[in-house]
Amino acid sequence: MNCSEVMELMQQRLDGDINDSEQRLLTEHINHCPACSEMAERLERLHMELVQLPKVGPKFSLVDAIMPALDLIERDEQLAAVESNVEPNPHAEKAVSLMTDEVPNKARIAKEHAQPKAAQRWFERIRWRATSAVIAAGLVLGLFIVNFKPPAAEEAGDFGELGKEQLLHSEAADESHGPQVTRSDSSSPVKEKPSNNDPQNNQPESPSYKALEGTGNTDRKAIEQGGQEHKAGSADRGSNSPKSKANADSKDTSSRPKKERETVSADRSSVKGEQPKTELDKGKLPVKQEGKKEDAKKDLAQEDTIRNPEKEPTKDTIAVQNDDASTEKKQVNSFGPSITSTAEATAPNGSLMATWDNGQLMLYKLDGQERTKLQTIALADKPTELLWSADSSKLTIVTPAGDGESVKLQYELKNESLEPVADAGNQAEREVIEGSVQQQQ
Amino acid sequence: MVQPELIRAAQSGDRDALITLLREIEQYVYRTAYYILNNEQDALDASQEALIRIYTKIQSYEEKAQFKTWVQRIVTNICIDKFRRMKPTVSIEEHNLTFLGNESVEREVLSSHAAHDIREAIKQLPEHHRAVVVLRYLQDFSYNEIAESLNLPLNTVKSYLFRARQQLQTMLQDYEKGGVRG
Repeated sequence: MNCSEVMELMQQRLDGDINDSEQRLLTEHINHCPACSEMAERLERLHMELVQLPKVGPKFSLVDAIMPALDLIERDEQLAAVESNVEPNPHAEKAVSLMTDEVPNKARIAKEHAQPKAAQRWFERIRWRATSAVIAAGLVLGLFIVNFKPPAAEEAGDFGELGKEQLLHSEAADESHGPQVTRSDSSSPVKEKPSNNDPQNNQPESPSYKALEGTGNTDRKAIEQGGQEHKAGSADRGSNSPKSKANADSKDTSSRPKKERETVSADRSSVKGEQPKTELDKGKLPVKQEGKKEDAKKDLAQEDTIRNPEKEPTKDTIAVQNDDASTEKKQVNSFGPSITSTAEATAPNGSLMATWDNGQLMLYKLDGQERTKLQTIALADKPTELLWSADSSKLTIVTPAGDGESVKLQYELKNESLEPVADAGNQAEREVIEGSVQQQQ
Repeated sequence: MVQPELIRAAQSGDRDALITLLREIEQYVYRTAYYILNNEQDALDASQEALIRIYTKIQSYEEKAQFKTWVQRIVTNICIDKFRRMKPTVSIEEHNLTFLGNESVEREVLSSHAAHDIREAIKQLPEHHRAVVVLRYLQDFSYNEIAESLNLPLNTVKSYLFRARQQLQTMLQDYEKGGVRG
């Protein structure tokens, strides 16, 4: 027996795979062959060391670690069971192949996994459809908003700005709901002005300030002032002459008319002596805008705080400044967003509201949040301006008459109904509150 | 040893049984992966992959084979695939250098190889030789069980094992010499 054969026996002996005769031959050879004896010893030692190798285990539960993956597989399989007739898609098969290779039933498993995926894709498609439908609807609405220009709006600036303003407007609209309830500051314009930085002014309305921030003070003012009455004769007034302001503002604001229109709130300010101007501005800006803008401008000039919504509160100061102190009352009511192509104006005393909607001029009686229809007057053209007189007894309606001209109709309030007044004179116009038209898109 | 009832329950769709079964075998799966890959993180990855594969393929197990060899076949296949992908071969010469120093003194004193040396030596073995050694010594498998696990003929298993032991013995002897020289 040679050494290599003995080597084989030594190996077999380590594994217990040796019979008695082999054992005898081996022992005999080792006894007289030092090389094989040493080799046997070495192998024995190696064997013992291999046997004693530490039986390592994972330091954390592997099953726990893979449980999420198992749950996922389980779910997929259940889905597959439900929708067993969906054809597998190649993608899924690929994904699954990692786990299923070398397996006879690979195809089956792949299919099971594929089915849920297909189902998922179906859902995705549905979702996509729904999403695209929503987007399409949004686009249509957006186009409508952008393209629809009430007569007064035709000079509006570029569309980009409009878009921006609309955005802001919509925010304002949301936040200006129920403004009448929130009107809390009772301070007179005089008082309010100095209090710009006064925290007291940061009140329930502050959100709307924020929303409107950057759109110009006018909107803010409108919201803020809604439902709030400012006593006439406030010191504010004197500072600027309405006309000069109005002129200056009309330039600044020519690009903003939309904004104004969009404001949800119904603004009313009584500005005396501005009426003439409103006519000039017709087609550009609703009258009220001028008044507001004046204020806005003033505010801007006076306060940097405008940028800081919290400091802004003073907008009340905005109270229209009229040359004629006696008529000054400014009231701004804000309502929730109203329907496109309507115009509305609330009377200074807050008890009445005139709205134009689709060929009809309607008079409403306001009682808190409720409104009761009092009268309906047929009026084909959409008015560019609805102007209440300061004492809420008269309503002036300015409608476009083509060629850039406009027609002014005046109604007088008698027994809660409007009766036409033959001649809308200058005097009446002077009493009209500016900025009362609310045109919304 | 996993109970046949548990395996049957798992195969019949009892998910809890299947999870229990996986918990029973996870340490064996990990041990094989650890000694074949000689790296803890790789071993964790490979053994988790193996467990997931067992989970999904439990239906394909047939009782004519031993369950433990079926499991070991899965894990060794994964490990060998993984090993082939990542393993840059390191020559024994390079390793000699790392075994100079204090360890050689200890080895002489203890007249024994450090487990570390053995693992290093195992790492030098060709993949199938390594798998045979691991199954033989870490799973305590017989020639037949190893053959079943690796899908190799019995004689091949024996020759792999014998050659592996001889190589290991030679490598460890080299380490010792290196130590003495150092």
